[in-house]
Amino acid sequence: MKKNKVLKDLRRKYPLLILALPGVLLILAFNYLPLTGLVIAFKNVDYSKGIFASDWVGFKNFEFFFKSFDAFRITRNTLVLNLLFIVFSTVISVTIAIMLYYVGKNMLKVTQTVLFLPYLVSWIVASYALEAFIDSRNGVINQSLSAIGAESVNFYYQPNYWYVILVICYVWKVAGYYSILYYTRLLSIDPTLYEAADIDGATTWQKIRYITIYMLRPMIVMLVLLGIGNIFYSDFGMFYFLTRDNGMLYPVTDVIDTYIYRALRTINNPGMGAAVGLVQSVLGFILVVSANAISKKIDEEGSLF
Amino acid sequence: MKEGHFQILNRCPLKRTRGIIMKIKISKIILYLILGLITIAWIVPILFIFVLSVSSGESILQYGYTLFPREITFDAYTYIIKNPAQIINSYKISIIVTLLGTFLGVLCTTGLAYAMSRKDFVANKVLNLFVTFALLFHGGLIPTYIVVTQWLHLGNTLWVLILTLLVSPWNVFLMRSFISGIPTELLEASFIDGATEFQTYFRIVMPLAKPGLASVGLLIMFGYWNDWYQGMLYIDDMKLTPLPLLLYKIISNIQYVLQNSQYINAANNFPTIGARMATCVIAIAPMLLAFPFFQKYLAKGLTLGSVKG
Repeated sequence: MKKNKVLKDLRRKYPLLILALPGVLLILAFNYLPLTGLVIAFKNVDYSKGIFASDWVGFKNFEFFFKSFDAFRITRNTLVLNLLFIVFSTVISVTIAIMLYYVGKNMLKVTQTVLFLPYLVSWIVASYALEAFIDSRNGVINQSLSAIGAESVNFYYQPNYWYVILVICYVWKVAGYYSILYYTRLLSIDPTLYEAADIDGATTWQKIRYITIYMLRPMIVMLVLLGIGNIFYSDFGMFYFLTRDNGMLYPVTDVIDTYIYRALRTINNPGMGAAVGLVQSVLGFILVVSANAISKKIDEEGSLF
Repeated sequence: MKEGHFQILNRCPLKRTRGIIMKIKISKIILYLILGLITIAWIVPILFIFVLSVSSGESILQYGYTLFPREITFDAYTYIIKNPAQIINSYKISIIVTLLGTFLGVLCTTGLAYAMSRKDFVANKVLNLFVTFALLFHGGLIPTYIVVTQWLHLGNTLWVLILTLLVSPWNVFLMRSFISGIPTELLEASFIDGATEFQTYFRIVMPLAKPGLASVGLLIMFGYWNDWYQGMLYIDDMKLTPLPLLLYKIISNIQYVLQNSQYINAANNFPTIGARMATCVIAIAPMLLAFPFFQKYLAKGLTLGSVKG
């Protein structure tokens, strides 16, 4: 009876299946099919034998990775940099959004357009622009240093500066996008709240703290949780292009995603790369699902997916 | 005594308001200044790309990179125009991939999103679960690479650039939330009037979802126009190199030459920084010029996307 009902509904609404089919097939091919490819994490990949016929090696690929010095380094870099990114991008975009909100419509259009531009250009373009600043000889920073008689710094060989450089580049790229998100939220605040606060004699700071930031809080929590859910993932392009894949900088700039790329392309150890990728996916999945659960608990509307 | 009291009482609020107005004006001016500085800081890196593309090599050697070059030259552009085959070809590849990809991408994404949004459809739950899981769990780079090159045999084809990015679960959810905003009464009315599923979809849903189509379409379009990753992974053939990948190849070739030849004066033999920046300008200019016109739709898509994924 129930089965009949399902079949009947499917038959009656088959056009919906036809509409969904191409999308389903593509997701099947590029999102689900690769899951079967995960078996290579447990294999010693031999292209001449083919993927499935390669020898099983159990957890050897995982062991090899976790015993290597790289495991700690890339995990630390990924987590530390992502945390820095989350903190700085959130603080700065919220600040910009609040400033835009108080200034009103006058400057909105220009500021928003300009801040948004970096979000649209690729990291390759960003790496061109970065070079103008940190080039060892002609870069703006080194020109200024030599102008005041200080010694020049070759940034492409000094890993420690890259915490700062990467954070600045990241904030530059995403602040426009996030501040639009926050600003849009601010527009939905009921203006009578401010009028009421005025009557009660609240100062501007009090109004910002108790009304503006309070109203933004659910969104801040949600976006931060989303960031934490994705903390094991990095923007490959950012790390690859800004640093020019420079080995000297790996102590700070080598992250899980660049490591996996090298396992595929330069070290040529796809089995180990897939093993690292599998660990990353499983941890990432657990984190995102928990972040979503927490977000839902805080705010019914705040579910991420 | 009493009068005096009155006077003070009368004056006080006035003075206070005046003070507050002054204060507001000053704080507003400070805000304008800060925002102005932020705006300048944000545009300067992009300005540098434009300015360096027209700075002469000698003035760079002498004064370094500066926003105010002593000498302006279009040598870099003539250098590129003299040898335009590669860049024109890359432009062609990027345009084909972007147009075809955006068109097919919007079509596939909307179809799937519509089926997912229909709560009365029995397959609705299965479809939603199917897309949600794809959004949350990734096979990762290496299994995907092996599937695309070894099983699907898409390596070094134009199709790999289009198909891999065609439908993203994220965009499907975004589109679904746009479509969910259409009142179900409209669909019901259409069915009562005897319209078929296809008629309802193309005549009612599609037109009403236009803002959503624009937003998602723009996201897909930017994704294609900016994409270097698929090319870097799957394309070795220079004939199939899209524009962003070309930018990367230029820079990595220069890097390679500089690292491996201490003897040649690289500045004389290879594209100078000017030529590289000029290539960059040629690649990003169309997008930057077009951006202000569709900023509204793009911002709308992005805001909705994050608030309700």
